[in-house]
Amino acid sequence: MMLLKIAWRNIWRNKMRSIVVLSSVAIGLFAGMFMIAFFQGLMKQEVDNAIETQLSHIQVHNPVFPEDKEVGALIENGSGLLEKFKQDPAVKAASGRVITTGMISCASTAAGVEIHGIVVSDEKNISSVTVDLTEGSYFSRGGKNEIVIGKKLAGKLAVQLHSKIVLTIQTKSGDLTAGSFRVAGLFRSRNSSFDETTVFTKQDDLAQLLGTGKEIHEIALLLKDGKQADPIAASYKKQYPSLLVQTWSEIEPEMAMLTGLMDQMMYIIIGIILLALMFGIINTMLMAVLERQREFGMLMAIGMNKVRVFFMVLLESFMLTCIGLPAGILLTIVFVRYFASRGIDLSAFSEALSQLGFSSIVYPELQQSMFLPITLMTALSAILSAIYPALKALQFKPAVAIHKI
Amino acid sequence: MNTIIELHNLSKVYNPKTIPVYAVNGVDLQIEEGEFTALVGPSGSGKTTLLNLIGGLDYPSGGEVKIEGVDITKMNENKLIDFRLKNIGFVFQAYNLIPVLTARENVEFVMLMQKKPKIERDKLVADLLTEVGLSDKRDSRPSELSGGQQQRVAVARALASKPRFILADEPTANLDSKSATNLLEIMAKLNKEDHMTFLFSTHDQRVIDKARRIVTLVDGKVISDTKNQPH
Amino acid sequence: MMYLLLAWRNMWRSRRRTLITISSIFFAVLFAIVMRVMMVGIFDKMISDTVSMSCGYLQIQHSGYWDNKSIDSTFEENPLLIEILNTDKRITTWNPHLESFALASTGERTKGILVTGIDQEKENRVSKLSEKISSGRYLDQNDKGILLAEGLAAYLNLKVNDTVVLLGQGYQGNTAAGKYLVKGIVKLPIPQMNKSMAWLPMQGSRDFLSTGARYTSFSLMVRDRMQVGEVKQDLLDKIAGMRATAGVNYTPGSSYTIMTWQQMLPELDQLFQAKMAQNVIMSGILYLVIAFGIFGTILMMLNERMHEFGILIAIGMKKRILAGIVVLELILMSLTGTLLGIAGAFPLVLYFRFHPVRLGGDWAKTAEKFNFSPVIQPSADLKHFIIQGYAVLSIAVVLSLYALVKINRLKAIEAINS
Repeated sequence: MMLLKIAWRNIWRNKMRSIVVLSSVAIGLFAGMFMIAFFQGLMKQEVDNAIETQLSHIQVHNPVFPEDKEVGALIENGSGLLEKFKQDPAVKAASGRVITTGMISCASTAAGVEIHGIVVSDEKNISSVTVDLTEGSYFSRGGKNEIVIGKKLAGKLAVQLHSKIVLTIQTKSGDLTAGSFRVAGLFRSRNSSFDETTVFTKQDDLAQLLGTGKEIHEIALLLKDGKQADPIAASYKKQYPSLLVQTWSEIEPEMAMLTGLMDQMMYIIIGIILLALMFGIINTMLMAVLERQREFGMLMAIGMNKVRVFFMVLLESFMLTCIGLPAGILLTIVFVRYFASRGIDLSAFSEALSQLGFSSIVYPELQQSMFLPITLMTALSAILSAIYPALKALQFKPAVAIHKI
Repeated sequence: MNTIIELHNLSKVYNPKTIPVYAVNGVDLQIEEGEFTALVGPSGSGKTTLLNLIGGLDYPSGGEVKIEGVDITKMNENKLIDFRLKNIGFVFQAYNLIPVLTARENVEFVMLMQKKPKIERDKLVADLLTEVGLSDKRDSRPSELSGGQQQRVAVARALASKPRFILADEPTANLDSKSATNLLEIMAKLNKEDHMTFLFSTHDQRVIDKARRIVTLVDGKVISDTKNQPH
Repeated sequence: MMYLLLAWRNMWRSRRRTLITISSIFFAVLFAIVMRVMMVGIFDKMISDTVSMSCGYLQIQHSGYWDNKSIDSTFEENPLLIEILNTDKRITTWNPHLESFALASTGERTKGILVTGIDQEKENRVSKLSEKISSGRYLDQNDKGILLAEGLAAYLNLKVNDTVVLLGQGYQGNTAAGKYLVKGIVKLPIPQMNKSMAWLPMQGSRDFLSTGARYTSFSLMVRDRMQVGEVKQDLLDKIAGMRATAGVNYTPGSSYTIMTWQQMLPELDQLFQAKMAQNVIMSGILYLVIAFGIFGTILMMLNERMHEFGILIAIGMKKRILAGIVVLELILMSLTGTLLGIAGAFPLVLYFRFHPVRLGGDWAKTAEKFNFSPVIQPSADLKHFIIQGYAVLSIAVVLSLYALVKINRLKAIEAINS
């Protein structure tokens, strides 16, 4: 009705004020959404990292295996199963591994390690360790009894590239045996305890020592869509009830816990941002209402009742919000897209991080599902913030307002 | 004749606890229907305050204001706004119109608030604008009108709600001679032909000359109340 | 000086206007502080939770121990050192350990474990071990028994009051062997630890390893995480001083190393650094929103006073001076708002310190299993209050300069008529 017309025209009467409120809403929305995009990019980075280095999306074991990593706890028909997984359309890459614990030693020092016997071509598709080498190569020379160890471990053992070390392990039949290996490469991942305790050899070499033949202890799967890990794992669990199928979050619950923490933190941070937005708008509008005292006084003098004045002010805020929101969405899309391709380099903000030598680049990403809730929350905040100033407008006494200089 | 406005021992005090200022000090007054009366007095005499009290824009410190027998001093703010809408027309010195509405919409505005049907609204708006001689400016915004034209639209607007009387606070103060005279003629005509009651507060001699009753205020008290021959 | 007075009085001419402006800064400061102390609180907790369960903020070890972990790399009990630790107010607890690798055997099964000799009272203060007991009871000082981690006990098929044999390498080549009664079973949240740890009272460990009064490490907990570096340096200095004076009590070749938590838990440190960097971005976004809010208020305020400015300029006030006074007013208001904001944040943060925000959902249950209490407790470090207040004040002052622009562009006639 008339109120709408007046409210709408009022907005354009004072362009500066309208633009400021509008921008506040837009920026508020942008801030909330960008924050979420940032957080999601962050979580993805941390999770992806762990997945690419060691966890993969899904791991399959003999149910007895994870307890103590017994040599005998092999996967029934492991190699056949591995082939099946490779054919599975949901699976991007699969790698079978022989795993055992043992001791690595050289001259004066020894250390406990977990030895991964891998097939180079498969492992290259699944693990980023294959490219995280600081020295040497990932078994590209094709020699026998080569080993790739973490740089940290190399330091601890005081060995270098091409040094010889001895691996002592317990075979399938229970005897202790040892094998001499040559260091072919040194790797460095972001997880230094992983670096210190994990070593890689070729599957054939390890199997020969262990006496496990063609059998494997672990199948690691990288899925095409990592987010489907849970449902896909569930279906595998049903398909292979005798095997232990685990998602990365089941294997390393600490990681899931970290992401859970970040989720909660995100909501709190967004809450604070929206509160800041609300107060910003409230103050701006309060000031605007103060500026329009005379106008409100006149309106009440000629007979516009308080309810109508209230709604007029509220409508103005509502319309400004309606314009501000799409502007905010546009802003978000532009910025997220920009940073999603370039990435935000965190080491620019932390001296210590850049010294660590890892590129800490975060790629913000925004799920469609987030757009609506955040937009609604921002809209709600904006409207709520308009209520108090609108109420204030009613407090002006017409007599005072009209004759105010 | 009908007594429209009755004031009994009306007073308004500012700063009662510190340094009391009696803007209006025990005023008794009666205005009949059809009057064309000017409230005069030096600056600070309380004219504006008195007008505010009559129009229900402010509450008195003491006394009564009765409009057609209804004591408006007892009403709460919301009721007052409604009362004003139905019974009182205002013309202020300046800033009378809603800046974002056209002349026509400004006049129509009060009728919309009274929820009058469209046909009635359109007719009355057209009539009123013609009466004040501004039919051709009906789609102009206040910023596009001269001071005099704005005041004339204000008069049309004041009339649109079919009030009992119109209060005008220094309506000619910002106008040049020609516009002032013009405005006065329109108001005088409305008073004569439609028996619309006008109560002015004014300095302007031209207005005083046209009034048929002159009430003089000094320091918040009525010191004289005389009949006048308009000229 | 007179301008200051003018500005101050001008501010109070329209109380409403001034209060609105001050409150916009007030809330901005409040929010900036709350967000920052919460984030810092989360980091602090993350670190202290992890550190108290494992290595402490600092560890004093025999040099070479960390890389080698041999029982021969232990250090003697040194009353001078202990006194240094006891008198340093920054250190809240020092927790001695005598730990070694050993084989635990029941005859049927054997497993390699880490057995740690503890001062059971000090240990409990730091890691709250006694609260993690799932069956049996905690150790006494002169206990002859042993505590086992749940996973370990399960593997060895042991319950309370069963016996377990430990075999290991003792000090200076001695064989370490002993039979122990299981006094209690402890549940640790982290699976790796849960499967391989056992605890003896300090004397029990000494007997087992034949070390006499020696230790593998002292874990130190400090009051303020930020002081770790300086505590380390101070201790090193004092130890050097100690060596110079003591002389006789020293095992030849013995020397101490002090490691910080960052050195002992580099992944945690990496994580922490990453979080700090993220924090910068999040603060940046908050500042953006705040800046808009403040700017809106300032803009509106200038708009409202256009008429007043017009008149002043018309009657002859120089634009420069007017602008200066207005900016001064804004700065005064910003300062007031900032100080009030800092003062106001204080009770708020204190409240949350005593009633930390409880997080919920499935995640909270998982967290509790890990012994991370799912609460957010803000930091009460005044440093953050002041830094955030300063940041917002700076933003406000920069925005206030817009008044210079606006007044400069003012045309008197238009202003008077607005």
